[in-house]
Amino acid sequence: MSAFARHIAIWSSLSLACLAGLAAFNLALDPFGAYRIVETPVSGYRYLGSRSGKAELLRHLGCQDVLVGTSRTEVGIDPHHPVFDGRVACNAGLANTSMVEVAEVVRVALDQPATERIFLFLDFVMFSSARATSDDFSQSRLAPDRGGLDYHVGNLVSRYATRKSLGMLRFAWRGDAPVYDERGLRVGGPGRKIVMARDLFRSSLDSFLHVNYATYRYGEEHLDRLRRAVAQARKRGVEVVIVIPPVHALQLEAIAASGLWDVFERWKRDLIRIAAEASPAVPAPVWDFTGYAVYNRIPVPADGAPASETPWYWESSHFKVALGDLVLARAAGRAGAEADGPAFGQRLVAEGVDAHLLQLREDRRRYEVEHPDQLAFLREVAGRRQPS
Amino acid sequence: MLFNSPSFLFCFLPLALAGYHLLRGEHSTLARTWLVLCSFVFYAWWSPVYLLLLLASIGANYAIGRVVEPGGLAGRFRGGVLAGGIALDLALLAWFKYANFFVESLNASLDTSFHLHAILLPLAISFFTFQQIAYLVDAHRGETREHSFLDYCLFVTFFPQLIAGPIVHHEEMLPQFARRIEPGEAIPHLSVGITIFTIGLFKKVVIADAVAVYATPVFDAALSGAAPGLADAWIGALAYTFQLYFDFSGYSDMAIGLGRMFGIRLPQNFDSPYKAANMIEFWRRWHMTLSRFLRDYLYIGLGGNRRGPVRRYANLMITMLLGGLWHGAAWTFVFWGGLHGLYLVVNHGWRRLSITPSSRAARGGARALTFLCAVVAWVFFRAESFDAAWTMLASMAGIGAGATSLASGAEAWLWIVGLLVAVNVLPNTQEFMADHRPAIDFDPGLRPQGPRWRPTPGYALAGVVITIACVLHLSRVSEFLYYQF
Repeated sequence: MSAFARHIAIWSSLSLACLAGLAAFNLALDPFGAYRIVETPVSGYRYLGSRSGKAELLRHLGCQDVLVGTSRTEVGIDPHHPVFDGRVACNAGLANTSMVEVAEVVRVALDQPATERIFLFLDFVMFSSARATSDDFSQSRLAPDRGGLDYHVGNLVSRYATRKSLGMLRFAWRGDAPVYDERGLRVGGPGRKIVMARDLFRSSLDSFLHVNYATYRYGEEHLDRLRRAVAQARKRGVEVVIVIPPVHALQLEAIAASGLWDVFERWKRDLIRIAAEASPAVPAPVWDFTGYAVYNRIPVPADGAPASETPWYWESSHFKVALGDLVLARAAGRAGAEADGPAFGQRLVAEGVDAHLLQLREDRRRYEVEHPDQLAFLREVAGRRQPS
Repeated sequence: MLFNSPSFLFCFLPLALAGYHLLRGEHSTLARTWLVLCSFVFYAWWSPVYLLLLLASIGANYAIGRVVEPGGLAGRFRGGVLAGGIALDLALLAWFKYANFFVESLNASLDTSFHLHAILLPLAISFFTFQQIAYLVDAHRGETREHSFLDYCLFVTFFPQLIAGPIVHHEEMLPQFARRIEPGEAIPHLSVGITIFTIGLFKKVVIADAVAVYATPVFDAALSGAAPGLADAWIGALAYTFQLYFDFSGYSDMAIGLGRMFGIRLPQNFDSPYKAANMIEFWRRWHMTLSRFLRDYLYIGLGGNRRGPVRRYANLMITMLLGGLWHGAAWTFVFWGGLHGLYLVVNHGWRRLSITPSSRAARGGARALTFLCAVVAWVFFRAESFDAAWTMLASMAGIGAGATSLASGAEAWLWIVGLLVAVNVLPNTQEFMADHRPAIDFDPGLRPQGPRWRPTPGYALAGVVITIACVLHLSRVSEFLYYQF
């Protein structure tokens, strides 16, 4: 054998052996649940919250009800809720997402034969053009051009997948509790290192005031994406329920303080219009849980109060499963849901939207008068740094 | 299809190689046909419709080439037919690459509102247009030899160099296609080709893509009107300087390595350009096959240096301005070309003073100055508007620099310093592979002594490590920067 032939033999055989070993390792641990060939003791640590993980969840679980939205959905909407009794529901909420990604989640959901109903939990912040897609998105099946060999190489022999596999082993070694349940719900809150409720409120409002709302640009193109998603679902015979999930009253105040209240109102009008366009006779229902209901008005907890004990909210942006349960009870149409507590949520229709928005303005004015301490807290956060 | 995509690496390339090496030997025509078909598939993968455009361009240029040869059908109209052929090529390029640019420029200068629909730029059109113009000119001069349409197709479409060069000359390619690979040659070709290709892949996916993350946010910030901080601006400009070099030289290495796997040597395209001690030398080391084309078919065509210094400098400026425009349909590219033209004029003027750096320190200073000039010019090359470019340069000069700082600043500087040392100290790929004639016309005798690759088990093991590192980085397939040109 010549030196060149030996060089090729050593290079090719060792390269193939290493890659095969790496592929076997990642296939066994399967960090995104893409293959589910073997269940190991560390399978519970799969990265089901990643874009790849959520797309694979939809492909593998035979989800009849798909819960789509942002991290608010991911943290607060429980796919095991009794309204889904006897049905398979999956939480496909994505952290820090936009309509670009959400539209692709809907596409993947509609590609699955089991899908019968999609709950679109739409947040105002998703409709900002300033939001970019995540790196994780382009490597998942949510990316429209991602599939075939490129996808599997990414899943089996990439640095990205290998780091996730090693991460699973590390979580298991440390004995951490899994972050996601098997239906995609993020358990234990939005997962920040801060555990004090007041600090969490401060940090959340700070990021919205100085980043998300400071850079907000209402994206008309996102409305088109929503329009197409609703139309495609209707065409495929899949029921669509649009939900504007609850946010804390201070989150609404932050929108107003950022000069976005008019845009916020316009956004609601646009949602109602789009819900009706695909099927004017039977428009997709639009449920709105934003507002100044008693749940949304809980005062910002005092210093030292742990976030785990705050009622209804982790912080101003993310509500807890307990509040999510009330949302689902109304939006999924369970009879008698109103009896669960004070009136919460409202179905919006084109004819009543002006009155609704007027009422919201009035509620806001009253809240500002009645809760000056809460407004002072917001002003304190707003004044901490100048918008960048 | 991208060289750094799994589809190419694990499907297309093994199939193309296996087919070619099975068919070569007794069936060399079949083997070349196979290569042409593979090249068509490679191109059509991106856009099947534009394969028709490529085929039409090839057919027309081949026919015109045969007609304008001395003794060809065109007779005394050879000059006119040649001009028509070149005009046709340039018209195609102008329409697909520059039509919208011209319309926008017209609207901006005359305050009109003409509108053209967006035109999708056919991949590689800048490259195959230049290659075929050179062929037509040489055919007219009688410098093309007898060859078949199949070989001409392969000359234009040979997939390793189709998309982004090196820009090859028919004289160096057609004889190689006609030559039979002897039985003992294939394995050494494969071994050397795999090594060069792997080095190129490493440059692209491990270095260029990694350093890009430091350049992009800074240029994006400048585009949005925010002045980067002083350190950020330098990080952005230097990171892009290395991103572009490792991206394009990585691509060129991959092309040269791929060609070699099929027993074909391609010309060298990079020769450590950041080691250049002046701008004339820089252009002899950077994108060498483009420099060669511009020199032979534009600069010399304009009269070169034959009509006195003034005409020489004017010709240089015209060549570099058009070279800038070739890179992209934007005034920033034209400005970048003009800036390099100016550099070259100053450099030629300096040479007339007969002052050359002789001491080690002086040469080091000259290298540093040349590098700095290149960095400044890259800012215009990368920036998407003049405002963004000026914002970047102002921040780099500390004028009106913002107060922002990248969280990954220290990491970025580590990359930048490491790469600065690497490009100045390490041998380039061709020097490293010098014992195995890595490229056409590469003369190892003129090269400094340094580590040289040999087909030993040690280098095979190093190759395994590099290969695994590359594959680990394949999950995010990113385009080569020169694909857009």
